[in-house]
Amino acid sequence: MGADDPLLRARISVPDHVVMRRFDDDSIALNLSTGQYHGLNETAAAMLEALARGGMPGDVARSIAEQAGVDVGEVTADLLELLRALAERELIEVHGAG
Amino acid sequence: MGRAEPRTWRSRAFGLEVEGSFDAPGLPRASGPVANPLTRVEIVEVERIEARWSAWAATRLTEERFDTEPDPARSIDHVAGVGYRLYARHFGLALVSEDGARVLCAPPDDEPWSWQRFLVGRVLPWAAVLRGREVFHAAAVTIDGRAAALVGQTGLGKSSLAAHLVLEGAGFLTDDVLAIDRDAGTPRAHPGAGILCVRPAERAAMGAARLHRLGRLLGESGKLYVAVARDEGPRPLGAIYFLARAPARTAVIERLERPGFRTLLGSTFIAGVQTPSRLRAQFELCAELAASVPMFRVAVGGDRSAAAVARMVLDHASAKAGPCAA
Repeated sequence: MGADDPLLRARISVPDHVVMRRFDDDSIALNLSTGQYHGLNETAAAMLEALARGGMPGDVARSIAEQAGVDVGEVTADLLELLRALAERELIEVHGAG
Repeated sequence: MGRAEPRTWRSRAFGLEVEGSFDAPGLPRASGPVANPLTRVEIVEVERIEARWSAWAATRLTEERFDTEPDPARSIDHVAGVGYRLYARHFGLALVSEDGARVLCAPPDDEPWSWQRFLVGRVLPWAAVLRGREVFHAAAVTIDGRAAALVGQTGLGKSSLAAHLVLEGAGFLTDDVLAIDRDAGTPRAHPGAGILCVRPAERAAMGAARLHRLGRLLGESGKLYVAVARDEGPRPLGAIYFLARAPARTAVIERLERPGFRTLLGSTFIAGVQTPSRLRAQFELCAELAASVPMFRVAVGGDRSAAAVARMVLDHASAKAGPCAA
């Protein structure tokens, strides 16, 4: 769990059936397949955007922790929870997590 | 002597070129080149619609019940490859093709203005969405050449406000359903039917002279239905005003600083078309509107007349540096 989680070394992509727009302090993602709308707070949206640009989850967590000056373990745990929630809602695809 | 075939006419409404050959008092004739996707409306017998329909394969999208009758008062069903069957008790039946290009209408034996409340209030907006327009539950007027949308749920006074704005000199675009699209990135509001609905209380407040100035009375069914000269559109969308109830002695128009994306989504008029392409187009248009069109909240107490609110909105929209300023 945590730093050893294989999800941290996976490649994350946003599938074509998901559209997302960012507003002032939140973002909204729409799953075109299910017709479901999902709200993401600013942190979650920033994480997802970094991952969609090709960043590996482990690297994204370290970068965010460094920028925000918070414990990387906490950020990693939050990111893993976010990834699992997004995957469950089919808002991301996870490749190579083993 | 044979009966002359009715002439085919073309009108523009909800971002469509509407073609038909029946008396349609709320659809003014259009001229000039075709500027929008075409939807042909044909009046037929019920049996012809039912013959095309595969009830066993139908998915019910919506139904509304207002009484204890066994069948719903209104319903919309879908069969893939055939289209959408729209029914409204007392107003008839319509079959809209899958792409919205063709409408078969089977109205009851009633005055055109009466049964066409269903055509312009439900059927054509549905076709407009299928043809790529997005429609909102809103009235709209033009002020200094730009459209001002008046958004709100039923009963909040959109029609009354629109009526008084027209009496104060604004152009009329639409009463209950507003079609919006983008042209080279600029949001545009399309005219709807040229009919405005006046509630009895507003009729009394307006008086006979102002009602006569508003337009020609088509008929009455609880409310008055008035044919109003319509601005030909589309017009650039200058502002969106969200109507809200407020305590007495309240009269304020305030800018919405946070984008009204969710409010706009909630103001959609057609929720039943859930294809991925429609959902994407709706999402992107609402996001674009939230980012680029000034939005305001109009909070007015019940003690304020629609005429007074109209003057507030008109002054606000047309003020120097206002959203509709020339």
